Amino acid sequence: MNTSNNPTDDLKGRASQLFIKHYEMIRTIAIQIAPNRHCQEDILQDAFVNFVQNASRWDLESDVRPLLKKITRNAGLVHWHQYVRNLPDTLRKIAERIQNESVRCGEEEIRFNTDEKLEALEICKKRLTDRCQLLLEAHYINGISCKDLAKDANVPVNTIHQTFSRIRSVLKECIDNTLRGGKERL
Amino acid sequence: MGQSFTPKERELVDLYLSGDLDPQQSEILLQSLDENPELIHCLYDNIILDYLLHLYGKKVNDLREDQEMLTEKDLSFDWHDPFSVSRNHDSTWISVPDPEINTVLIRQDPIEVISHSISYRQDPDSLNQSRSYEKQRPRKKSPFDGIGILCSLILFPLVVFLSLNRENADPAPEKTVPMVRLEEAIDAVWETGTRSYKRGEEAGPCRFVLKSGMIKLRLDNGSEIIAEGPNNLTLHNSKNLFCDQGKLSVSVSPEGIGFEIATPYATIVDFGTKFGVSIDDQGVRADVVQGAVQLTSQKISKPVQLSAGSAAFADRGEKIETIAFDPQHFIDAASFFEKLFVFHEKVKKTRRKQASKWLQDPALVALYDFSGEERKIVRNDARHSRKNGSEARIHNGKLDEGSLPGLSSISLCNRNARINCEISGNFSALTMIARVRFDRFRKEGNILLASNSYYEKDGSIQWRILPSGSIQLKIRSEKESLESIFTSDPFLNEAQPKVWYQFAVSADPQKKKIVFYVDGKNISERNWDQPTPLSIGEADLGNFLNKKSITKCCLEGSIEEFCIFDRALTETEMNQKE
Repeated sequence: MNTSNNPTDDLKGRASQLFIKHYEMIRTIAIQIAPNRHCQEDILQDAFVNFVQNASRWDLESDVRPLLKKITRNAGLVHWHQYVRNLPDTLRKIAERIQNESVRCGEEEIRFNTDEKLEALEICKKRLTDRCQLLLEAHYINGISCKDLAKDANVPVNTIHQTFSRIRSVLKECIDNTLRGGKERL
Repeated sequence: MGQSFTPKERELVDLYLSGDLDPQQSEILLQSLDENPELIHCLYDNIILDYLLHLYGKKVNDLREDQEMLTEKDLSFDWHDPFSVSRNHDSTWISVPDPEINTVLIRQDPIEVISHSISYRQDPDSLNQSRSYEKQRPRKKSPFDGIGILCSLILFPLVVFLSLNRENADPAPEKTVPMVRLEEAIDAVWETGTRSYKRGEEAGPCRFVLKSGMIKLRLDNGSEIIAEGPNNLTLHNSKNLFCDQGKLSVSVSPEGIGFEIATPYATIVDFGTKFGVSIDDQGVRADVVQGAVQLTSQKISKPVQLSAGSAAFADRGEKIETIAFDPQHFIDAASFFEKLFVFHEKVKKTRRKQASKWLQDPALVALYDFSGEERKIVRNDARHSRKNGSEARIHNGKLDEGSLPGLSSISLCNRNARINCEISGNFSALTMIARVRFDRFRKEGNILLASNSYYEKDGSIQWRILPSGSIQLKIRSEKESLESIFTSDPFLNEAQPKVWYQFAVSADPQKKKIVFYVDGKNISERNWDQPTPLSIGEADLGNFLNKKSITKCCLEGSIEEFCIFDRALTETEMNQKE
């Protein structure tokens, strides 16, 4: 394994490690601040570059979580505003309302990170009926669009939307209960 | 999604998630979001869940790829020993004869791989031991095991008891610690669909979207921010805010040194100072009045230091150039206070005008005005009142600050504090208006007015604010032990203490409606199916003292003005004042 003698490289390496260590928290904040899945990778990338490139400015020996939160939030807001600016007027107004809600939710303490939620989702998915599981897999894993699913099943697209709406509703309740249950057990 | 949404609203949410909304549907969704605040929670929750599902899909796909790579054919390194595979109902264990890898565990359900993990050997020499991890030798029984079981038998109920008690003891949700206070607002108009803040309101991390007007914020570390509309700023904590549009003037206290303003183009870090910031589509401009700040662009690694009397402009992050200091580009604190003074005088003038108009209204029954230097009853038209005809007594109240500088109010600061008055006669219609401030909200309710004979006399009333942020009017019905209760929708998620509100309620027998107002705006209407004559009689403002019970629902706060009309005022009449 190569070790660098350059202190800047060491700092950047340390910063990268810290970023990876707190990746789950960062990812959770990113989606909370910019609730659009398409800009998530860019936000995480920007937050990473900002944190690592300016490693010499930070005190990496202290708790870096507040700093990472701040960096991620700012990166999230920048990308969110860029995304919103390009939208048509009505969609921009809807996005504004969504962001208000995201800021409101951001006030609440982050109780569960994305990884915990994914674990809960995994448990809850198994509780769904076989048909629902297949539908979820087809759409979210195999990437088949709602229109194509409707075409294959020979049903209106609206029926597929309604089914997903019901599935999401069941999953949300189940995930909340599972996470709460886990927290209570702790 | 278990809330009350129409099928159409649900469909629109689904279409939004799938990105299939057409412009017309977007308009309908926007309208629905404004009409039904619950819908925005639903939409937000669905976006997050949708993201989670996509993430889950990606994870599963990644694992599938990993699994493919782990097949015997694809393994490129040289095996000294064939690896062994064992399976149970949901997992596959692969023992790899690699000196560094212990086992590879693949968990899978019948359809796809759920997760995989590779455990690494702590000690490369313990290769032979690692294979027998699952078959561990049974441990010899120790005499201490019995004590352990006994302890666990005693401790388990104790832990269960404590955990249950903990749940009961702390049912309330955690509150956000306030870190910013809206100290002043001049003609502030908030963007539609965003939260509007009132003067005196406190908040945690929050967003201020100002369409026009000016506001002054005070942070918990003593720093002050003046923002001019249009402005869009998000406050993360007392040392960090994000602003993508508008003008700001910042005065940082010694505790707030290091205060950071992030913008889409550059970041401004304070070193104990006063400075102005102006952000638009072209870039960000910083003018330093006192002290020093640092301007860092995202694309230029070297930050620029600015001292007092200097300024710089960062254009979309490409470059930062030093420019001449110009106080015209931000709001000067002195001019803000000048405007504030003019604004307050304007508000006072309109209030005085309104009060004189109300005094000429023959329907005015009583007007208690405590806003002047001498607290007074401008009018109490209760014809058969106390000996001198128009009197109210203030018990345990003290003079306090009013809703605007130069105005005063009566602070009711203990359980016996009240303003006792007498409004005799029966009223077929009624409007009550009160300008009050709460210092604390009581769980049981916060009385604005209560007839002392509420439990004895039909038609007696109680008017209170509930801690949930709803206004409630109770009317004693003809049959004993019955009462009609009218409760408004919450006017806020949670009522804010230390903020001045003008509450009003009107009972209109002709329209058979009870209408609730906050700051002159109709917030709720309730049907009043069987209008009955109302009576107040001897009553207390801000308290309810009854022989039958000790009151717990007194008002903890201040009253500036209280008036009663014997007709139902309209929303237009309410709004004439400000």
